[in-house]
Amino acid sequence: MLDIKEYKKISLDFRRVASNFLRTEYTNQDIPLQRFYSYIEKESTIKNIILNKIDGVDYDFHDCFGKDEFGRSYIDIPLDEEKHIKAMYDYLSYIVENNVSLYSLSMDFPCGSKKITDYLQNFIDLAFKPLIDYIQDELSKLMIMVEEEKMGIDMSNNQGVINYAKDNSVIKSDNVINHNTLEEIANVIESIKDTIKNVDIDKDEKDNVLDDIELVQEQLQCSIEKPARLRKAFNNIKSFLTNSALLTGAGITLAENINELVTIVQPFIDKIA
Amino acid sequence: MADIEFKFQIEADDDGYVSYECPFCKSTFSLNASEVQKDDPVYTEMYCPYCGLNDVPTNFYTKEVIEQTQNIAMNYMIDEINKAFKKITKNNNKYVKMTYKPLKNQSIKDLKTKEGTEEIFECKNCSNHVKVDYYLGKTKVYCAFCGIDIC
Repeated sequence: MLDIKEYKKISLDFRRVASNFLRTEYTNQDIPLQRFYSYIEKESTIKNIILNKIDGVDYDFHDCFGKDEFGRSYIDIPLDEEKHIKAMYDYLSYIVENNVSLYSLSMDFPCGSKKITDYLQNFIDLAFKPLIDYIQDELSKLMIMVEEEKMGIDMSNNQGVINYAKDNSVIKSDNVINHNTLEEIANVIESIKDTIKNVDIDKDEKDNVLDDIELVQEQLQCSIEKPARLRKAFNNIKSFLTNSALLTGAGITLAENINELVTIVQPFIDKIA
Repeated sequence: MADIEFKFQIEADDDGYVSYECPFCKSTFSLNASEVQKDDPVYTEMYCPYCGLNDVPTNFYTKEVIEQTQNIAMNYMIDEINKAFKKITKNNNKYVKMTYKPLKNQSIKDLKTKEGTEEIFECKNCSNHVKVDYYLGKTKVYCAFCGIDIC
């Protein structure tokens, strides 16, 4: 697997050539197409994304991109995504390798405009945008996986041990998040939900802080899949403590409960900082 | 014929952000008005924070902004036509008399950016900000200015 920086570079380069392809104009119609195809063929990560998806799929692209009895072009998208990806990739290869004019192909598809550039962009959007979306989604997934590995967090939340390592440091096992901790958090959150009803705060503010509290709980339950979001929600909760409504009446109890939650969660935030 | 320049304003939200719409995926997002209007550097392209594809900034204008610019241009055209006909009618004499009914201008609404539930993300690469929908950004959020993924 590549380094995260490599994936970021590939993603940026791919989005550049894909955008240029989607923005093809009458004056430069074949160049973006050639560059897009050439980039896919040369960049092994992207080529592998496609090949892994269509490996063993038997499908003729003519079934997807066909012509009716009157010679009008149509796209009949297959139900299976694998077949659709294969059809788009094979069609792209066919157009480039046989020097088929993008202009003549695009003019066969109905378009709500009379401009040739609009015809071209309409055709590329209909025929190849799903392929671009698929590649981009897969690249994003790869980047997320690499980022999580880099973060080095392995929280076995129900097994009792959190192992945490960052930037090749030694994994420590001195952090424990077990059933008791999660239960403790759940209890505090229940108290917060009960108390907040009686505090005179704007409804939106209440909803926002409850959303943040629930997000913190979810993230701790799922081994902190999104550390940035956990940190953000946690900071929002801490900011909420400065609310003047927490200085009187039921607000004081609410502040105590939120402080308790902050104390429990803070060690996990320190670890991902 | 010389180019004619029209100016109009878009009111930002409370955080100083204005709305944009991706020409590829049609998602809407907001950018800090002061960052978009920077003179140095001048941004000649923009990336969609959701799909990451890029285009020239003018193609990221929302439907409301495009409608507004069309209305402003249409009003200019109407004013010019009205002026021309008014001039012609001044030449009426006892043999030829012309009358005309002035065309009405299109209404120009104030463009306001609606407040939403979007979150602000800062790009570590260029320090600019994007305001995107928290739940829609399930996979990645890209910087609208430099295209690098933010989270």
